[in-house]
Amino acid sequence: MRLFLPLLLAVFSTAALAEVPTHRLVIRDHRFVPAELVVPAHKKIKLVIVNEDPTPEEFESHELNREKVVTGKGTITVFVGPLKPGRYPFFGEFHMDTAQGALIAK
Amino acid sequence: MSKSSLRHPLCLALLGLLAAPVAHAGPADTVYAPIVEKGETEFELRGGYRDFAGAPSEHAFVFDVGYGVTNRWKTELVLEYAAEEGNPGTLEAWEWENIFVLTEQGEHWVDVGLFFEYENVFAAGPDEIKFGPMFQKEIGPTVANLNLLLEREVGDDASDETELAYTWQVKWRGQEKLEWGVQGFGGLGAIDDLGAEDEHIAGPALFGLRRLANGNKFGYNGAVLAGLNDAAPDVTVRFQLEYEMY
Repeated sequence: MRLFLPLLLAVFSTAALAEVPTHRLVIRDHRFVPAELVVPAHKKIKLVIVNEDPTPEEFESHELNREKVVTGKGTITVFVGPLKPGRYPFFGEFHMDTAQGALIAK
Repeated sequence: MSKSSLRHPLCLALLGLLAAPVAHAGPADTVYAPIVEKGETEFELRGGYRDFAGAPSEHAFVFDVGYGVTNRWKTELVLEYAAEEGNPGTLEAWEWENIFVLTEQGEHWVDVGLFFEYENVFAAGPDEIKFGPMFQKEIGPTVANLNLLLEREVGDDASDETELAYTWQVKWRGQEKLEWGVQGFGGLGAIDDLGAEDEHIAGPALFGLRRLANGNKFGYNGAVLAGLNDAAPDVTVRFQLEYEMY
């Protein structure tokens, strides 16, 4: 028990202690802007996704293992990584014909 | 564990739930993840069959409707049917399940959630509550989940004991339509006498997801689990089907 609480605090304070690169992704007219976003490899990444459209969208990616709805005119935060160098596609499930993008980790 | 540490408030709160009859993994049990999708409605059918050496086999089915109320809370209503070899099956209970997401996915070293369930048993006897932490950890393409579940009877004639059960899985994310992994389920018995009465099963599992033309999704997983000790069923076969929509 003496070790449990300090260990718990250590696990959940890592985000506060480490600087997490933040990148902004915008949803506009059912498209991601930018469509391709370059992010550093081997680091945890914080994506701030801003939906400028009035209707909701779902940010989803099998490769990133993430799925999250962003309301119309809303903002969400998605943490991914660390990612190996490569291309990680994502899409907007509610408008898949136009809402396509990718993270490029390098 | 020292006496002084046992008096720690967190420890006392947990101990307050302790002492329980054996928590057996049911054939329709599943592994929960601390992930919720706001606004998503889910229809789920899961079931399982388990075979015991020298004892009647059992099977059970669960029908479940769930809804993501917020990004942090999903609630589900569940109906359970069960049968034992040689006896007719019956509707056993309805359950109210809840998943609370405590951490943002991927932000910390591990994702954490809390599971809470209230089970109303149709037959005469006590109801049951079940709750405990859920953990998810991603390492590259591998996703591991662990649920620790404290189970306790409530109501008339309820036992004053609490049991500890667990479910876990490790999945290697590959093709979305077919992924492989392993699952395990078990019980460790009464909290004040862990290991005295326990059962453990584990085995290979497969998972998959199909995206439908209407934008909804159909998910599936199944496993064949072998008993790992004498108290466990020799073989358990389980499946889970999910239809997800907005």
